[in-house]
Amino acid sequence: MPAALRQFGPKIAPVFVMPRIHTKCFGQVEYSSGESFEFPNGVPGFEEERAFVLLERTAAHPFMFLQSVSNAKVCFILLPVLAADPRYKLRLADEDLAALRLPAGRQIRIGKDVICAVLVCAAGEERPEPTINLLAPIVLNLKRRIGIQAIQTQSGYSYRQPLVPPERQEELAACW
Amino acid sequence: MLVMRRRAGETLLVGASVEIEILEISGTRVKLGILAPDSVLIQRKETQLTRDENIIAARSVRQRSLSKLLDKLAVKPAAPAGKEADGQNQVASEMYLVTGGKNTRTAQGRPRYE
Repeated sequence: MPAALRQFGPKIAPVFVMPRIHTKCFGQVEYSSGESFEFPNGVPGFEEERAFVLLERTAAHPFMFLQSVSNAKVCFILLPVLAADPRYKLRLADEDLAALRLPAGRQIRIGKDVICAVLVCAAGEERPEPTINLLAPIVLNLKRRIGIQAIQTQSGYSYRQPLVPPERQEELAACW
Repeated sequence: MLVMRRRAGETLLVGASVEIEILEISGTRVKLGILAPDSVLIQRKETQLTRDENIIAARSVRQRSLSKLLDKLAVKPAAPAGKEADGQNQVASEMYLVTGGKNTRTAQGRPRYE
């Protein structure tokens, strides 16, 4: 600002502007800061990404997208865990509960207390068929807006579960 | 794979600089104490698997792979809900931010954890 103008101080009062993020697949999106989720430790492999927003798109239902606020290149596809496996059992370790600021010793209800969703690896050069990571779901505390990736150590769930079971793959192929 | 039996309180060495002590055995769990230089990364195997998988998953997200994924699952576009019409948060078309997931919104009322 030129010195001559500076003495008058700012002429325009600061106005509230919705922050925008650059997303990997959907251009720029506005959000209010209360809508993002804080990831205190990031997620393994992306420890620097400490804030994400959850994006939903009608055409992609039931998939959702977890987009990093600070890095447009980091975006994950999410699928609500109960859509992947209606009988999925989420067991949060004490340190996970603490990170999410949820009380210990209380049943955590998926869809009420937390959103629980699995990361999807879309088919591509690296993965011929889409897979989901049931071993390490993303768990979001809706009230506190905190998220973690909770590794289900003793669950026996796979981290590369085919999204479409093999028998269904043939069925789908037959439709084409 | 080398198999070794150890009791609680006993130690084993890996190379010249890594020392692993069996601290406690209770039921199905073993508590280990590990001494290693800072340069040695120590982590649970599941964390490493998850890291590798996360990196591949993030790389797989592209417009093209998205359409393929949706085609594959034969996901049909849902009927537009009234919510999108106001378009407050909308920049990209048919895109909106959710505060809690469309079907997983917290129940109204007082906070649960206070």
